Amino acid sequence: MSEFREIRKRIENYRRGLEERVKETCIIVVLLGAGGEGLRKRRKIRRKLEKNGILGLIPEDDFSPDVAPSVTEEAVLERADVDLIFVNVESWGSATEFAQFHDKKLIAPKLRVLVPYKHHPLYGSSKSYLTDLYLTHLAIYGHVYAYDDEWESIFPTSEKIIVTLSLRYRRLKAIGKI
Amino acid sequence: MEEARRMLKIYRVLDNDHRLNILITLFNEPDMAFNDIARETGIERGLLAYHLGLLRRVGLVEMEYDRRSKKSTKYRLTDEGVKILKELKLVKAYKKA
Repeated sequence: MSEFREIRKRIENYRRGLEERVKETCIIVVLLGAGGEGLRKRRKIRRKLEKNGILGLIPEDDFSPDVAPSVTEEAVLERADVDLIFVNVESWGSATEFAQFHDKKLIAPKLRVLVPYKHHPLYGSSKSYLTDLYLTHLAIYGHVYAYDDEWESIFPTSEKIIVTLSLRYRRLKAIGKI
Repeated sequence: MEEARRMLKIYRVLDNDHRLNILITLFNEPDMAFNDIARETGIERGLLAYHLGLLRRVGLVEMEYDRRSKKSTKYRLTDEGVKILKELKLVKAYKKA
């Protein structure tokens, strides 16, 4: 039994009242990816998500500097109340994160993998260990998306994919389908 | 609409035992270091970093970071954090003797 049972009931009532008023719910989304330009892109996406009432977390910005990011990420992604985890595989670091999480039963279903279209197992032409992992993840969970942030092809940008999927997920959650 | 969305984010974050525990701990002892919060609440460090991140994100908790200090981070409730705890009548029930 929760120590805060009564208070949680009150919080839930407030939350439901607000959800009724704005006709939406709030989800928590974690954005993983590369540093540098990748981090700037994620911050921009987070601003867009937050404008739409979605809580976006970026480990480098939001998690405490007292703990190594890898420790935090694994603990969080396995046991916290995160709704979706987007990993943009655009560097060796983020490729390692994907390889680390893709077969963890508690993490993999929440994982949405974004791959530059040239490396996507169906649309691209590259053949590597990673392409094989993408294909496996695609076959089991179906969430490997090709993106193009350079506007060279018909594929959507990573921002469009993340925002579109998050908004739809939130809507489905609000009407109780998730 | 904006304000309702902001409050919805706050209530989504509050709807968790660990985070309520952290808020009460910080109300009772402001300016706590990360490791002290971990010890006091019994929350695993990795998970604690996440919960504190969410509480900061919605503006209920703020962090002070000092690279030179051994206890490098200090956390405290913001004015809004204190206000919400009082509104929910949480602090009355859980204030340390």
